[in-house]
Amino acid sequence: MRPVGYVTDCEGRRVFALVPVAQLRPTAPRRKVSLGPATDEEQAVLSRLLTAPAACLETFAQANPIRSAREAAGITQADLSFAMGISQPMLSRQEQPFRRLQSGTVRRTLVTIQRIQQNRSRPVISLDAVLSEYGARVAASVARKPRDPVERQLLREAGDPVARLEVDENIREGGERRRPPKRTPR
Amino acid sequence: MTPRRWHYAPSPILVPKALLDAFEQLRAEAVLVGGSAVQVWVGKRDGIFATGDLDFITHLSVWDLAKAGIHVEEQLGRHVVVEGIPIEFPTGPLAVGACVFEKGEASTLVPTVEGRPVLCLRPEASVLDRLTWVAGDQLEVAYAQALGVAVSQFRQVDWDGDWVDAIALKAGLGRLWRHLKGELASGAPTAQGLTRALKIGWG
Repeated sequence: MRPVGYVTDCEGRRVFALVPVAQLRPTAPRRKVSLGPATDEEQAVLSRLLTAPAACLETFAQANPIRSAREAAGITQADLSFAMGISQPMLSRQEQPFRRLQSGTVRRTLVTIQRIQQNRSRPVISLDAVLSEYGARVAASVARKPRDPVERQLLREAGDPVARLEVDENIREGGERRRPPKRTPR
Repeated sequence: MTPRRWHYAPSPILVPKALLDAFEQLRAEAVLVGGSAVQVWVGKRDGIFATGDLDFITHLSVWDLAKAGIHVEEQLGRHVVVEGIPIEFPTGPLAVGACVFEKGEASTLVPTVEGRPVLCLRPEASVLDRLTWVAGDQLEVAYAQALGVAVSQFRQVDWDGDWVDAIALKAGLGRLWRHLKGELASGAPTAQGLTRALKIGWG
């Protein structure tokens, strides 16, 4: 039996016969298409299709989990492939109906779709409004910034307005990184 | 030609051409950090979000740059002035608080005014980097910068909320990040939120 192709249903209509193959129980991928007669199982599925072509539609509805999820989330292929670091043609291939997808691929993609959805639903915040809410205390705190003395000197020589406001006593020796205090063993 | 698409929404930063040449020649994967990264992610150039110098974390020393043709006038340790811009090479490795990053984990390419891209601390890490200053020095300006980076980038497709959650815990900034996250989720950060943030500290 050919795994894909057209068959004729009981009313003489041509039906694309991907469905019988998809409805069979999962088997290891074949290297070659079998040209022999249909097995009993294949014949049973095909007979069911011939008497109930609607089965074709039922199977098509669950075509590809990646594409369904992406379209439901309203995300373009370009955005999703970019976010996943893969090319758009590769994503397009993964979205083909009845593509044998690995569970890891589907999981990774769904996580990315979920992340993009979450990010898009975050509130739009006006930075200017927040800064005006904070008032003058933010600008005033600039003067307390600890800095390496050489860096401060270079910045002042370069005319940096922030470095000019800084208090010389606040030193960050050697540009040290801020780290949490080490916990003392009990 | 289709314009290049950048991850997140960076603003181009001015990096001296001679420095970009030197990095290229020495095959240095220098990563822009600190206030310069904040400027890239917020895109504003006022006193709170702008920086007068550029901070790069790299394995190179100032003398390596001299060998690559950068004019070094005097011995300034980790500092050098290139084309009038002060450059600092803070001690590596790339880290935030107590969390040291794997290679490539916390950086992404961003555009320069000159055109060539440079590596920069990714915005999620930049937020946490600013929070270390809030935890360690109780600096209001650092909290405003952290908030500025998050507000400017957290709606982008690449922003990884799970990654920030995990790194914040490793870095010893879990409580401070949760507080900022709550403020962001509310949609309207307040002055009281800022006051509270300064009292949280590490942990």
